[in-house]
Amino acid sequence: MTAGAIIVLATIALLCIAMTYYVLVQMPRRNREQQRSTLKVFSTAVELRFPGQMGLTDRVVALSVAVGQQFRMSSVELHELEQAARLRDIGLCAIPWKLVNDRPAHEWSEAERSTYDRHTEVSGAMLELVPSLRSLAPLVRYHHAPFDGSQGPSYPQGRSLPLASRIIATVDAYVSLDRIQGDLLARSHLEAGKGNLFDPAVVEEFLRVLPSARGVETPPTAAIR
Amino acid sequence: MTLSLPFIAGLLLVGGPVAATCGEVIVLLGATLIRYTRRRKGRELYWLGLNLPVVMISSSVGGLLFYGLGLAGTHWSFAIAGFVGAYLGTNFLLVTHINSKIGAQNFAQQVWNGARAALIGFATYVMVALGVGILVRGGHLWAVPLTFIPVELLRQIIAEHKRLDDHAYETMVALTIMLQRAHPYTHGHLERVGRLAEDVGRRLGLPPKRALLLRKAAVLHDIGKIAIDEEILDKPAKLTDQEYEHVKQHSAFGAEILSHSEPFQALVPWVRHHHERPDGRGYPHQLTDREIPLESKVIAVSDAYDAMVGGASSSEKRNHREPMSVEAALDELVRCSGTQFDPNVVKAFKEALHGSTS
Repeated sequence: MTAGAIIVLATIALLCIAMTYYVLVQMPRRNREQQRSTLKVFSTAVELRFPGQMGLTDRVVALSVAVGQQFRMSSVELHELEQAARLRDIGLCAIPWKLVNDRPAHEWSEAERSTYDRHTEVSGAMLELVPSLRSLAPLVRYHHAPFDGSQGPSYPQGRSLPLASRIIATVDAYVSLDRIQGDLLARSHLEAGKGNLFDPAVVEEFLRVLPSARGVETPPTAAIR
Repeated sequence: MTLSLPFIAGLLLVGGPVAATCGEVIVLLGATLIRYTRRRKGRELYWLGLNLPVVMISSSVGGLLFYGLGLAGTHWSFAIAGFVGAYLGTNFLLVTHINSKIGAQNFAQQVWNGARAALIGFATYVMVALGVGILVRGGHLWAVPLTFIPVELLRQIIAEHKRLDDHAYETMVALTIMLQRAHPYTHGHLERVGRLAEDVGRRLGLPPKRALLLRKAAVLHDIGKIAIDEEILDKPAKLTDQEYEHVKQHSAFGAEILSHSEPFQALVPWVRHHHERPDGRGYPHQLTDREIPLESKVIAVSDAYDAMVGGASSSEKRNHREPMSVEAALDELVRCSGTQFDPNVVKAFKEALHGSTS
């Protein structure tokens, strides 16, 4: 073999090593970062529309992933859980602006409440329009579905609800109540909802990870309003 | 398809043109068969009809160069590199030409966009083809399958890049869906503004890639209206000062929303300043002529024009006024140029419009 031939073969070998590194290490990292940053666009849009929720999503995402880890979800499932938690409320953009911003939730009439509750359906329907996010649609659609199936026959119940939806339902309820009424009342709401609103196993795991994960609430970014 | 190229080159070296042509045909038929079993049926004959001439022309050009170099007495390695390079170059030009006929983008722009991305692929293919040539001539046939590894890696990289692009595009689509739910625009307004802005941007001398970004920015320019009360946006009567202040926040909101995403970084200032005016009476920052990005000025003109002609939202059509004629809208743009719009942009806009209608 000539020296030229050896140089060519060695270059190919180096090329292989470089490309393997790129495919296995560099590319997945870049992908994950881009996806994460891109999805933040959606939660920011919702939080700017309804500033009362500023910062909630970051906390729901962090706590949901912590609970998901307790359930030994695979890294793919955890990634889906994170995405679903991030996108769960995009349907809020179809909810009237004045309803949420000008009136506290406890003053809503029955009809207004059911308007607001439609946001899970809207989120799911929107995600179904986007091919790369379509797989998240069921996780998002059921993120407020009661565990005991009291929502109605069109909803799955119990363990047939996706685990990610059950986790997000629990974490979301805690985080929003914690913001308004404080930790103690939020906890007792979870305890009271065990078995009918929330999956008991999820509530237990959540309360277990909560003390160690509590510090993650990020201060809300200054809203110009 | 091109993935098999290094091995075709090896065949050409060992078995001559007949073996190489046979190899090509086998690969092409195999690919058609795979498409037949896996993907949507009924399209594979169309695919074959499209690809057979492309492959034949490319390999003829490559083959001619191969024998030309061979006759000129150069070393076989140059001939192989020439074959692969000429094949890929011809193939690339043909495929881009077909794409430009199918899609709306023009040929030169696609060549420019594609060439830089394809360069690393060119280099890899040439290297691998040389490697195959060395192994075959040295009689190390057992090692030839190893050269599949770099080719497969390259394929993965290309597929992944395409996926990233698709993801950014789908994000854009999802955002416009969100905006439509919050505040229904007339069908097609955002797309039309995007197309107009890209066209005007190119006429103003923006490089194609930047013009494409401008199109995205124009589609997303009102994304901040997600955070604005839709009742005020749709209000038929004149807005109170307080309501107007509220609506004015939408350009800053839009910039804030997009600023979180890496692929949209470049668009952030353009979206933030799309309501600035050259006379300094715009918002949010009262920038003056020179400080406003050109891209924002293009968006402002395109948006205003389409709103006048087609109506930006259903309410505008319903309540404010009847859609204007093209001439009346252009007169209005000219009347406001220098104060609300940049005169150069308005001029380029008129040219773009006449270019596309005539």
